[in-house]
Amino acid sequence: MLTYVARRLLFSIPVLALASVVVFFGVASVGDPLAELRLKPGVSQITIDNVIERKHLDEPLPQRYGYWVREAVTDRFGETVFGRPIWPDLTRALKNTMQLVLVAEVLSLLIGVPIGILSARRQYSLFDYSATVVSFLGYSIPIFWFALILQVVFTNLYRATGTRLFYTSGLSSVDPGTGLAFLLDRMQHLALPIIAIAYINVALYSRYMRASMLETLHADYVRTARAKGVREGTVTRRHAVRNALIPIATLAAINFGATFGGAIVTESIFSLDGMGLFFLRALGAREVYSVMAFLMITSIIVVVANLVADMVYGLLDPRIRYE
Amino acid sequence: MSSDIRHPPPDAPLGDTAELEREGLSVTPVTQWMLFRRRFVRHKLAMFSLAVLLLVVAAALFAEQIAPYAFDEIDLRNRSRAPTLDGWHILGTDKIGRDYFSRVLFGARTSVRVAFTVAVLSTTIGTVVGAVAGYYRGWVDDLLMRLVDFILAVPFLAVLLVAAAYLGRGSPMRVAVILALLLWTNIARVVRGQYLSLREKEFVEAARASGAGDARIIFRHMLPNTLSPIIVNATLVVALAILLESTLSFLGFGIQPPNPALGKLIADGQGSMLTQWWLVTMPGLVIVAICLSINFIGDGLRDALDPTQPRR
Repeated sequence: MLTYVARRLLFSIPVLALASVVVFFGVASVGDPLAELRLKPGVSQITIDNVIERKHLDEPLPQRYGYWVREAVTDRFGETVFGRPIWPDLTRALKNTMQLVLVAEVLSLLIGVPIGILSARRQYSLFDYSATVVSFLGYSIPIFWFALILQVVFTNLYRATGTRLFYTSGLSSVDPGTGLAFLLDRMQHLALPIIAIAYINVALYSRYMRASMLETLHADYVRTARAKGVREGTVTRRHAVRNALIPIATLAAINFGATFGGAIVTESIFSLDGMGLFFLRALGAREVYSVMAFLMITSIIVVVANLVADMVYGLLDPRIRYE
Repeated sequence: MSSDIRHPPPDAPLGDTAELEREGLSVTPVTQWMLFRRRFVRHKLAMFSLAVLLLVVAAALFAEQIAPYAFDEIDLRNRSRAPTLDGWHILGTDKIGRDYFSRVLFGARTSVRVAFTVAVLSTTIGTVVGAVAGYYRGWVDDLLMRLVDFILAVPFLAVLLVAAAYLGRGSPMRVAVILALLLWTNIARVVRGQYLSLREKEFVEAARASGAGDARIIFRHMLPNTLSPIIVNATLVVALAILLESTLSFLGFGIQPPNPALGKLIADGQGSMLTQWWLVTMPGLVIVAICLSINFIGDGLRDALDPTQPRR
């Protein structure tokens, strides 16, 4: 197992190296890094020349790639063309997004998997049909539209009743307080974005869990277990659920990246100071160095998530051996 | 290449009926296709969804004939009207008096076209890649899965923004191809997983023992056993493509004017969503209606196609 993890980590290096090549040549060839700087009033030619020298913009792309990698590794992605350090903004955004995404992911798994199991156990029952309709609705709603509707509903609710249940934008109030008050304030702000993300994920997990459970429930070893007189509850728990969880583990890890991407949209609608807003702002300002930093950090997160998925796969399925 | 382990052709009766008929029993042969059809027709949600989808898709594809106004016909005397029967503005008008029903219809046409293109392209790529990787394992698997890892390693939303800048924004078919090139990975993973476990099954071993070649085993013996997850995934991709395309268009990086798009309509309506509810609500409802019915159909297909389930 340990050697496998080590080997996979080793494999991740070329994957990330390839990602960095594609990211750099993709982004660098799309636009002129200085375009926005040149448009800014009051920026002198000397400033621009300084940036050109600092970022080695007068050299060919392959060399610039080398300088960029060095700066990313030794100086934590360095500065934007406007001279603002990238790392502090990026880590702050990452922390906020992680809060949002992790809570949403855990919540979705805790809700989605049991719904899927029950649905499969009682296929075509009223519960199954209701769960199907609710989760299919979640699966069919564009996240940005759902977020907008949530905003409209809760803004109108606030206007109608005068009491604030959830905030419809931002991460904190002007004066969030400390301790428990701060926590409550943060939860009131994060609630709607988490609902928006979690609803869609619950829909996904419960559907896959149901499909996966149906497969295992009709498998031969489950019939054998029943034939041997194992109680139905034990059959479900010990035989069916465990095997049905294997594809869910992979799905959850793959989906982590998608959830992270979904956060781009959600954050932009709820004006949360996270990775998504960081990315969209950088794109809007055509600040290629921030864009590339965002892409690399996200790549690392997804590669790690995939590694975790494969390890969980091995833990759940003893037939799979890692040499 | 002949193999004794055969799957019956899809329209062949199950079991030998001739013998029973000789004994004077009347026998109606039941074919796989009949079983599938019977199961699917019984799935009421799926049948209802099929009707809804056909209606919406037909309306979208014949937008030209159905829409009472042109997509961009401006009527400054009828600005920001709520849905009304007056002048047949059944979904109201926007802030420069364009008929919203017509705009939504044309937007839906673009979405439907893009989504079906994406589904066909990505399912084909994903199935072939997943099957080859899962069947051959070894370096082929490593190489293909590293490619999958790599595509998954950069979030598609971000990549799409860059790709849009490269390949020229706004064109629906270009957006479709970009989406397909990024969306085949999930299907490839699912198919690979199936093939990894299927290749250890006895019927594969039996087929190999009786001399079937790799291609025959992959496509004739293993693929039919993988069809249900592939079909479920393909339907999910159609819905996913519509959602992603509208998200891109909403953010301003997908389909752009003069091409109509539902996401762009929602983005334009966002500013006045608290006062003019129909601007954001209506295009969104169309997206939900299309995706919901596609997903229900996929669900019906899944239940109907799975031969391992008891006959109902």
